[in-house]
Amino acid sequence: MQRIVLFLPFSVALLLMVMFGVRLTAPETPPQQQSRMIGKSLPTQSIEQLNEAEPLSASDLKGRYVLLNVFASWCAVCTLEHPNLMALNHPELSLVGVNWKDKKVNANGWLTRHGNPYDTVIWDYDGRWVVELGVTGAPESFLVSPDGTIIYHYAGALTPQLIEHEILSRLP
Amino acid sequence: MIATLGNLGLLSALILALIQSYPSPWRPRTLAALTCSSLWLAMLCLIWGYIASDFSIENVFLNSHEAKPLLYKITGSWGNHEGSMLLLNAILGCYGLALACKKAPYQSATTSLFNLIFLGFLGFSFFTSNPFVVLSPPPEVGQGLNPLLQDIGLALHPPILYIGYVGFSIVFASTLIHIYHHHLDQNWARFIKPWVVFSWGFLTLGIGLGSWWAYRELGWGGFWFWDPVENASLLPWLCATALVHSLLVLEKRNHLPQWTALLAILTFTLCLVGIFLVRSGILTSVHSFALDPERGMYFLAFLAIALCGSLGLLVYKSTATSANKTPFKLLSKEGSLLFNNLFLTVLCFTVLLGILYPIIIEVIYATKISVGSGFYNASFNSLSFPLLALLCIAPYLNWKHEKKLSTHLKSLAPTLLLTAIAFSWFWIQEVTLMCLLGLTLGIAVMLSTLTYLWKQTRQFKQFKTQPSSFYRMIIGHFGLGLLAFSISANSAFKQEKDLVFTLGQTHEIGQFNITLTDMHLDTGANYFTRRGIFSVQDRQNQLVTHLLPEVRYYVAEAQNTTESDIYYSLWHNLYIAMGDTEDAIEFAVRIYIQPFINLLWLACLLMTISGIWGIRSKR
Repeated sequence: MQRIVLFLPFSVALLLMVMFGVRLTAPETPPQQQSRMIGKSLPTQSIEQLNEAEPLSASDLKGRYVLLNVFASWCAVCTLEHPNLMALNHPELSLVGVNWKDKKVNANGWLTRHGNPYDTVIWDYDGRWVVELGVTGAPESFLVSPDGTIIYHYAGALTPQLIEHEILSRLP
Repeated sequence: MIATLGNLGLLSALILALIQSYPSPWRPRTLAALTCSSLWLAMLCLIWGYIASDFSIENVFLNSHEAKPLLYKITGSWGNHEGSMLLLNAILGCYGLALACKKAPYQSATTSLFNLIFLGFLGFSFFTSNPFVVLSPPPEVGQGLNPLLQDIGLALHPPILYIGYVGFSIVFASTLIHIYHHHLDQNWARFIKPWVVFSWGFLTLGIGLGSWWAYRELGWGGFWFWDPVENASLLPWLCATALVHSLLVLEKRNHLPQWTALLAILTFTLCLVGIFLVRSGILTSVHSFALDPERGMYFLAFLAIALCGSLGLLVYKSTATSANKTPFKLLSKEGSLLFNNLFLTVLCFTVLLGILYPIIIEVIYATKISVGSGFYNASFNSLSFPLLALLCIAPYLNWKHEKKLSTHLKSLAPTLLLTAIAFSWFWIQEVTLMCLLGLTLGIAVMLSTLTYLWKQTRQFKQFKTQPSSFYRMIIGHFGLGLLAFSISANSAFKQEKDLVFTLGQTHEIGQFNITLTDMHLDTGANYFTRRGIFSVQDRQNQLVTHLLPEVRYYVAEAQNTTESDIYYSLWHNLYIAMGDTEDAIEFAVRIYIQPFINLLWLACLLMTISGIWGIRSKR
């Protein structure tokens, strides 16, 4: 083979190693606990709602604190978290459910059986909206400030302690 | 006490590898045997720590619990980063011993380079990921093992995968020595072929096992999610497949030495890249071990030296080769295998791009993106179709120059006819275009392989005349066609229903009537479970089977898992996974009918067999 052709994989490899090195030694490497989504905005594209005809977009959620909660009828741990969400009642906080990879009939059935704590429920059947949030499972929750920035992210079931210390403490 | 012994074993292996890095003919077999045994001693110490629930060993404390069943105590020893690295090193030790026992060209140089690589892995284990760190005073209770890992599929998957990965280190070492000596020729090809094929076979089995576990355990009825860790194992597999075929050209016709060397280097370094991506914390995935960047830097340095060093050497020594000077025509076996190399390499880099793209974007633009299955389905699947089509005709072609293409096409006529019939039939079924292509090409590959078998053994009369490599090719290619077929068929025809059952209620799905006859609570070794008994009947109301899916709560780990239950019949699986219940009156259940999924596992097995069986035969 021509030397030039062989030089190509070598240079690509070198570039790749440099890139990995930069990525690993990045000064703002976040500590294990903090999510990479802090400071990011919600996805911009509009998304269907579970029981309303008009789609919702991120701008509709601005103007108040929003707790976005990713849940599904197939998610066993969500039932553990659910009573804590039902008990959550703060005048400055709006609870928005994101129903993920779920059939509407199942989601509605689940909400009927367990109670509906949400002011609004988004329906993301194929997951394309939540993929932007880096969601890897349910339940996951995001606290969003009135200007649309994510200020807290937790992957897992919210306990009363977490709600007290991480969410309520960030509200006015 | 065991921790000290284990640590000593690891340390002695490190020193022995250091000694063997210096090329010398002094008792290579003894040294290799000592290295291998000290690592297995260390591994056994760790396993013993798990069996005895010795929580003074930090690794055991973090990953085990007294109540765990014995099998999962043992397999849990490699279900974490430190333990699995130790296992990897132990397997490397076995390969080192095998190398010392075989007659290899440039034996002492290859051994010393192999031991340098070994040293890199051992250093990583000993200095950054030592499983024998001791806790004092020892805790009373262990933290338990993720219940998802407490499964037989996942117990087997790492060791088998490592046997695959690690074998390529020998290929790598041998390749570099031969590049250095300008000796990329038929002898070299003959030497490394069994190592490549053996490792490839185990890699195939390892990936298949991981898929099978995901299918059974995750409750989604899926078997491949294009997760970065899954992709990290696919990369060396694609390269290794290309390597096997490139070696064929080099061995038989002394062509493509540079391609073969490049593929050999890439296969091993992609194994390293995979290990790096999964363990450095640079990627988040449901699979990845959560680690700190410091270990990542060590491994990155190791990877960079191996990758850039070897590619640099290839560039530097590229001009002088002993290759065959007579060119071959593109329409020939060499030509088709060259295309094969190209396709597989492009497929490999497509997957690599998908894995790395989020990292690249994050470094340059500081934004976070995800690459999902949409990308892979569009690119990977589309690229694999021309490759499958090529596979139908490639075995028939002559070396150097194919002049009788029309004769071969004539013998393929029945294949083409049957494929066209299949195509029309599936088209009428209104499957998607991607499934349609996958189905028909899968069938085409299987049929053309069988036709080739028929032709070469003179209508199946002369089975014994062919070398075992011929049969391995037939089995391997047939397996690949079956894989394409079963993946597409499953995707096209699977049915999924989310249903709510009350006790005694029957639902209809596919050709089955399913009744929930009982739901009760029970306890297992280290979990509580809610188990449903579903009676499955066919349309004639004959009982087919009972399925007992569970939802388990593992106490120590405070985690729920879904244990699906699957009815395996030849052509399909009936798969039941239970969801939640609020009132213990209505139960959410997800039922899948998965046609042809068993063929998928069979295809993986066939390809594994083609790699491993007959490895000792000279032909």
